[in-house]
Amino acid sequence: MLGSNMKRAVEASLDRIYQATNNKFVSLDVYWGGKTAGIVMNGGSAKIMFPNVDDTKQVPDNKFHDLLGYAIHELGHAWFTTNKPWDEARQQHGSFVDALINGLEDPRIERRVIESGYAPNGRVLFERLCNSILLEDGYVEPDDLKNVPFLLAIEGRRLNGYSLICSSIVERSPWRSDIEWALNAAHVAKDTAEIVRIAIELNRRLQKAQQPDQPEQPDQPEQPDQPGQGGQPGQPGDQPGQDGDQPGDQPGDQQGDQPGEGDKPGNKPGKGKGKGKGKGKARPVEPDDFINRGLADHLYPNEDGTLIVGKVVYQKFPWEHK
Amino acid sequence: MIERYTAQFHRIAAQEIPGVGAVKTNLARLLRSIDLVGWSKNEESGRLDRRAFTRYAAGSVNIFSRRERKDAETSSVYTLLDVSGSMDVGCRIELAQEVLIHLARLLEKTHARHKVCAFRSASVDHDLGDSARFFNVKDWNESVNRVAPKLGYLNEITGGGTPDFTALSHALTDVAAQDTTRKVLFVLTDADGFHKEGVKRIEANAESLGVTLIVIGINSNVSVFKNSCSVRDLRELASSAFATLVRNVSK
Repeated sequence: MLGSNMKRAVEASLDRIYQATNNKFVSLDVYWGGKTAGIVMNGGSAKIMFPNVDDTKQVPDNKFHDLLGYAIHELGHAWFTTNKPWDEARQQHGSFVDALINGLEDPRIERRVIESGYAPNGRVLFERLCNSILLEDGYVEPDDLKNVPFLLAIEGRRLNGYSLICSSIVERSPWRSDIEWALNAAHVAKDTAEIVRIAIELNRRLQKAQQPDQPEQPDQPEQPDQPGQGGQPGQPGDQPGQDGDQPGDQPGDQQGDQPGEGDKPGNKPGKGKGKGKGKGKARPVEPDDFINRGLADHLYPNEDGTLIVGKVVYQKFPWEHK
Repeated sequence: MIERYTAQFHRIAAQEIPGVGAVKTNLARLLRSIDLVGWSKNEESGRLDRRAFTRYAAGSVNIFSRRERKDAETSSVYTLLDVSGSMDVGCRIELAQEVLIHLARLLEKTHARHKVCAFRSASVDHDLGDSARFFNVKDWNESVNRVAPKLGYLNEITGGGTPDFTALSHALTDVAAQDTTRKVLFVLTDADGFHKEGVKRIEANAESLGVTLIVIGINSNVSVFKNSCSVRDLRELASSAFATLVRNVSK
């Protein structure tokens, strides 16, 4: 569809969702001018940012569905994620636990969105988005510790009932029992705090299993202010509401998922570079990088930021205020 | 307060513009909304066409005619007025107000759906780019008389910058979403501070959305736009330049 039509359709769909939530936010704005996709929470207001898609270019329908699925996913975080326990866990246990929480929390919030009925077609859109990512970048290896968060995010969604194009690799994982325990516990978790407890326990179990040879030490306390740490998913700011009103995408998220790194779908992991055990960068759990790459060919050429469609505010005439 | 601006509207509306009939005719042609009814001849059944008897004598059997009807072309016209600070220079805003009021009255007679908005910059929001403040002067289904005070008040809302790209993009999206066969966007501006690349992009967007973009330069040259003409006096609304412009875009 035409870029302008896609923008209008996304805005109209999100507006319908906003109405369905009975104005849970003060406002919900869509902004087409972000350098990357993300959500910004400022008080009770939500701003969803997308890259500036060219109004005159044709955008495939599947990109539109992915974009909408991504937006609803991010809104799901705004609705159902509690940031405090997550932030505390990240500070205390480091970025790997942060990524584990993200991997377990994503399926939970999507399940909550589906159950809430805010977005009636949410399940289909989430399933499509998940399959698009797997189709584009492939799956991960079952014995790749750094990609356990990504594995949790995918397998957790399978437990939600999504029909995925890759079959499960949990059975082939050396940490099968621990991962199954975490997935099943997260599937019935009521809130983020419970997810955090599960992630910390899973991390402890994974560490214990690693101890005989100790090839990796995932539980490093997080160094403050080090954006862009290679491939550690779920950096601060990855979730809505953190750090004031910063966009939900930090540089650390952008690495580790460059084009060409992925495997092909169909349960044949390990062919792409960077997928080996212990080396390379971990796959990011959040789909924002996938969305950015997917829209890269449909943006305005030579976007210099001067031609951005800003916000429109309607003002009343003096006598209309009374 | 309202009475004062209503009186201002009526004072402007009462001005006679010599030769405006041609513009009215061309606008009506551009925005025609009359069902076209005609007869299809050389049919093999239907009403007997007496003028086809000579052909019947020669052996022809298709001597009937049928009534045929083409659906009306419906139109949506969005008029966007620039009320940025530069429109205060040299009484541009007063001229623009006069042109807008007369244009609105002409458009009302064509039975086209018509909306009028004015724009200027809002407070600068670095997160959200070039924000625009819109004044909804006349909505699609309102009559011109109903919004008379708003039209009479337009010369008092000038100020701020010209968020041209945001404003024109927003107006294009609005008019493009209307369920009519023809969509037209009139822009009344001095084009002060317009971004050339932005103009190109807006024109490309208008074309892809099926919107005819017509720019009327108020006391200034707006030739950067493809379909444009300049008006330096209210009488020029009835000038050959404007009439030619409307006639050309209706082809």
